Amino acid sequence: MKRTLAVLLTLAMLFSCLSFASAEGTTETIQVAYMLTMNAAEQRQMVQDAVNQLLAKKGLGVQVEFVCIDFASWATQINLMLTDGSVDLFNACFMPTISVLADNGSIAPMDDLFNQYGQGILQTLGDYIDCAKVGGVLYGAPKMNAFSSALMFVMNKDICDEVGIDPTTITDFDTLTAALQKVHAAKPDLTMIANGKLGAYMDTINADSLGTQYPLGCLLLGEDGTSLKVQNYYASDTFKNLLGYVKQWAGNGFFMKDPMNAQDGSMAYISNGQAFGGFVSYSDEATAVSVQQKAIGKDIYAAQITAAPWATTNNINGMTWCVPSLSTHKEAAVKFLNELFTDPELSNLVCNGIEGVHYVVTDQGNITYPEGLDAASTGWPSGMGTFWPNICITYPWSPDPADIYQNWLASNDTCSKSPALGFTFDSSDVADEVSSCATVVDKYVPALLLNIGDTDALYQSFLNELEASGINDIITAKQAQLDTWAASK
Amino acid sequence: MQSEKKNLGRRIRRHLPLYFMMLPGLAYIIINNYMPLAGLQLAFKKFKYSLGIWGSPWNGVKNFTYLFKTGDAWIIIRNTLGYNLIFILLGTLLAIVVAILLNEVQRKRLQQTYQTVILIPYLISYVIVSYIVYALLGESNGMINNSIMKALGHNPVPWYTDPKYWPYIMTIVQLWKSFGYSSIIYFATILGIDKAYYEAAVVDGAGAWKQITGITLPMLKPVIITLTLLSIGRIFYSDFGLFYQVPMNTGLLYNATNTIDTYVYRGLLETNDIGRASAAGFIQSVLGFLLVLGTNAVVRSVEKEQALF
Repeated sequence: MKRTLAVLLTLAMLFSCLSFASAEGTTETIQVAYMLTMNAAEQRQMVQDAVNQLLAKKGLGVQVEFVCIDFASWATQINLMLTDGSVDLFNACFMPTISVLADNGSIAPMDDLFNQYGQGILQTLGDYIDCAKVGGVLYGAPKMNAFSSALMFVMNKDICDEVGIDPTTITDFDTLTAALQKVHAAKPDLTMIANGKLGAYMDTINADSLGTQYPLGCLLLGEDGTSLKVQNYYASDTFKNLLGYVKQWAGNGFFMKDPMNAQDGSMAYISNGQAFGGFVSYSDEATAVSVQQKAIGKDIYAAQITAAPWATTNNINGMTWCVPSLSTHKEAAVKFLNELFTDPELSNLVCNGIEGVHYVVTDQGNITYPEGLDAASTGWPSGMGTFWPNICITYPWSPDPADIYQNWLASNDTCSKSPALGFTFDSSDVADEVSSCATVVDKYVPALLLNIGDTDALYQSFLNELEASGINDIITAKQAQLDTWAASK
Repeated sequence: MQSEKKNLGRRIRRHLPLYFMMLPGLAYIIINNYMPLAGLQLAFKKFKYSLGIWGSPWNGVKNFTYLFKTGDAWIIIRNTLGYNLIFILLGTLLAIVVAILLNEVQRKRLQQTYQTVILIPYLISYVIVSYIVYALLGESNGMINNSIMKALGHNPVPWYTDPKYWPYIMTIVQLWKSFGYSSIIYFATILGIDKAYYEAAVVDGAGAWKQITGITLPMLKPVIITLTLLSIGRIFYSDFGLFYQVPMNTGLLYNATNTIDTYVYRGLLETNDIGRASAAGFIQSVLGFLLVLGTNAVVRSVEKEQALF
């Protein structure tokens, strides 16, 4: 009798637990990966509580927990978490491209979920959402940004003023070279063009790399901007002309000493006064100045070198917010993502922190640090807004004007769009060729772009090795997929 | 039969504490070395995160093709095997010589000092070694170019852009970094040799050289064979730190510095392809295993008691 009673009681307790759990089940806690850079986000708990308070008020049944991961171990950690679903929402930056992630099944398809819970995401991104599609299936949401980019040269403002360089006169490589000659004559010990690790100092110019890290088969956008012909960037006139300038620059002594052994990003050398300027890619000069001035810590000018900023799939889907396929809270994750895209209060919280604690609003409508705090001492990183899905609905940091993000959004409407915008390349059939050609690029391009060694001979063997490693197979594969994509549009 | 069984039982019971002591080590080896063997199947699968290791579909040898697709396949294999052979040969030679010299040092204090000093390079991380090398070889600030070449009236040598110097640089760096450690192992063996042999040899009028060739080397032979067999097992691996960090990942030096490990690392950095990475690991470990079996068979046929198994 006693035993039966005990069993009954236990069962009753179990059931009550179950029913309790299902009532509680309306609130799901999701794990959101957050990247730590220089600032360790010591007050993350405070921000997380504020986010959860806001979410509770909205009654979505979603609570979040930030999983903070150091930049240095980001890719490895996320990759590990993708194998067991211990993260529910993450920004796939500094990771393999989303077509690779989709192919290896680590991220979940989003079409249905976005239709149901992510209308705000779809409306915010408009046509740009296509860049997160792989084989017609949607796999995430690219973060809002000024999506286009053009090659810029940023330079030390004080030196420009001292030597008498008017940045508005610099519009292409010829005028840039002339200006650099003038500065070099006045400051012979100064490096004119800084480079970063492994000698890298310039992005691909006027080309749509079509979903591979290097332009192994690309659309040359400078030509007419409408052609869908896939070509070898490294054999193109764009690249050959560039090599011509490189020779001039090297001959004039514009590069760093021991460029291949550089241990910092190129901008660091402008920051520490060893270099006059360097190349970056941004949508417009004002944005380049606003972003880099903060990083460099000196007043700078930016001059646009290539004619027009281009929007390409690569530019846009490099930072795509995705939900892992092993996540057990996919709906909740998409609901939260939708809020991040649409709710300025929430977006301000994650991008900038808590008003009055981590920032104060100024009279100009932008924000600045509260009395006594700076980028290093504030408890929530001020420079990480661009990591989150929608910085465009938050306050910009001083000295950026209050309307800077309106300019970004406007630039998205007016910029030139690659004819392959929205096309993503499935590289799985030519993966061998892609990795083998990438090694060849690593081997030769840094030396070619710094004019080290016998560059004419190197250039020839570079092209030969690319062919031997199968660049033409990549071009053929890209062309075939691109044609199918264009026909289906 | 019965008594034998009882005997065994008693033996086990008597040595129970020893078996007990073995448990942690055994558990470590099973978890760390045997259980992951199941992962070898990944080399033949198209790994899907959503399906896991066992659920992912098979895809034959497709994961292996990229290793041979590149025109550099031959260079990479040549570098990996070539460097390892040189390291094994010169490394063993140097280690034995140093161990014998160390043994000849009479003063205990000095002997201990040398022993510690030669171990220091082994303890330095390759990232730091790469900067030491850079401090020596750098073009604008490096010591060799600025203090030695200039003083001798030579032009500075572009070390980091010309692969022809690197086989020597890599070998020197590797030997410098590793000889201390292997010397200690040989030195310990030499210390274990019964002094009576040497005393008898001296009585018979053997000089130092005769003692070395007649006593020390033969006594060292089992250790030499074991250590060499172990290094042969890893001949398809290369020290990533040495081949990636020390040349500072410089593209122009790939011909002299690219090995299987660095090639796989660079090739898969972009795609994070678990199947392909496992395929490279599969080749390295399986070929290494076969080589160990083969070498051991050769040793056994020559001198049975010296073989590992």
